[in-house]
Amino acid sequence: MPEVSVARYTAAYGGSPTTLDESWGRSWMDRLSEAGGFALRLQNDDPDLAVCGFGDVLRFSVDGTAAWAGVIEAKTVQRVAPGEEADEYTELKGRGTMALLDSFVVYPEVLGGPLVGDVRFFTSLAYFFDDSGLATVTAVDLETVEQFGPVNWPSDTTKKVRPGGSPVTTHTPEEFVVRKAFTTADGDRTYRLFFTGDDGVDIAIDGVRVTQDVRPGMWQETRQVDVRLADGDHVIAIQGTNLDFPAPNYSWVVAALYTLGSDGTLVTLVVETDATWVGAQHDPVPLGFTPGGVLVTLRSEAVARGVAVPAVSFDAAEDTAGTAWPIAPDLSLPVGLKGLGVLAQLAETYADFAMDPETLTLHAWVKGAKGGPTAAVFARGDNVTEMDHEVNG
Amino acid sequence: MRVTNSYLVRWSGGYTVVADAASVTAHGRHEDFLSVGDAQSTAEAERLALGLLSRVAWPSESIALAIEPSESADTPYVGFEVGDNVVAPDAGGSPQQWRVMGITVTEDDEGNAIYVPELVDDASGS
Repeated sequence: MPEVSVARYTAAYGGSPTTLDESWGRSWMDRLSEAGGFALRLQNDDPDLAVCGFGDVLRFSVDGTAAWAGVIEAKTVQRVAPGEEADEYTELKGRGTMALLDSFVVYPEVLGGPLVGDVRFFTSLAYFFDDSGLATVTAVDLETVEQFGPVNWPSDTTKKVRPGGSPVTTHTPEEFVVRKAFTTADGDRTYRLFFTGDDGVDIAIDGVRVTQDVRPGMWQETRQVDVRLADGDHVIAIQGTNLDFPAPNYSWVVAALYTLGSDGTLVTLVVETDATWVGAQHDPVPLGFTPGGVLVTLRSEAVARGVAVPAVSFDAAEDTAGTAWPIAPDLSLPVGLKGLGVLAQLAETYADFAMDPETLTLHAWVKGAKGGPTAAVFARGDNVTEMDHEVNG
Repeated sequence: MRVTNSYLVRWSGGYTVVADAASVTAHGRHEDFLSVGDAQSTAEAERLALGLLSRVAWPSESIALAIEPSESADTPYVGFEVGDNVVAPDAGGSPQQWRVMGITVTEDDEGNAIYVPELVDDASGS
């Protein structure tokens, strides 16, 4: 039978390992994309026990091959009556090294930004975050050019805007984004954002979505949402669509942001759509975050805050095997979600994850792509002693 | 029937319905409720629901084997690891390809390691 061995390392995987030859009752559970767990026992008078501290790493090997590694998170000391020393032992328990990702949580896009929901939004639309490739939009006067203005719009100066030049003469379904940077200096307070579009809009401020997938049927309606902003620089981005109109037509969006008085009145117009905005049309192909990009972004933010997070062997473009990530549609993560929870969400749909027990590096593959065919064959009467078969239908 | 092939999905903006039409045709409609309150669009909610449906909309098969490796090829972490494909008997005893979704190792009182790979049929393991 293959032999199991265990060695203890410091959390940084530095220095010489301590082999735990006298340990017993060893077990571990290794599951795809999960942290798993382990347990083992050492006599209380075993000198090796003293060097096993919380946060240290235990690497389990099979016939000398590094198999799996876990982090010591708990110790249970078993003591019995004097004279029964053989039963005086300590059980060490913990989770797999993937649990090292639990040392960080998802932060909001901007601390002190608009508190409109406890969600960190990774959009497929890179333009929500990136001005490159954007050009000045075409601004269309609200009242004179388009006969169907939104009812009760609060500002006469607001322009309908769209990228792409003059209105099209034949209808083409289109999607576009427009952006504008602005600064607030009125203290941490509530602002009211008015918006509408023909025929759909999504709006984000500082990368946080403040609308919820507002779609066709709104083009004559003035919509509004209240957001909270701290003093400083901000960016508002509007995704517009025009997907449903069968005749020659063109899209537009309008938006106006006001400071709000304590009595609910509009005080100051801070920013509104006009020709100084930038934007671009884009095709329906998603443009933004990949599963790797989400993790790399969150990891780099955590590292910048001083959190020790395992290294990764993938990036925003390719997985560990060098395979291009499928571009992901939108992904919303609850602010405060721990890193392991992020992995769990991504593992549902996008990726396989595993920790390298030799380097403590997080590997990721396009979902279903980890591993491959092997020569392992199992058969009853040969190398299978028990088989528990379950069929769910 | 434990198959679920139609979710009533609650997302942050309301409700939507996501179904696996092929499974509905094959097994009849079997509904369940799914709350994805953090999802910010119907597209995101639908993607999450479809990810779950890919695992629950069709009958699935899994086995846990207690094995006694006899050579490198059938030794966990030496011949195969989590995520790999191996051959093992199906419910009728015929060899079939499975994906290794987990490996549990436990030492008995004599210090012998008991290796238990958890396998799922290859189609549902991806």
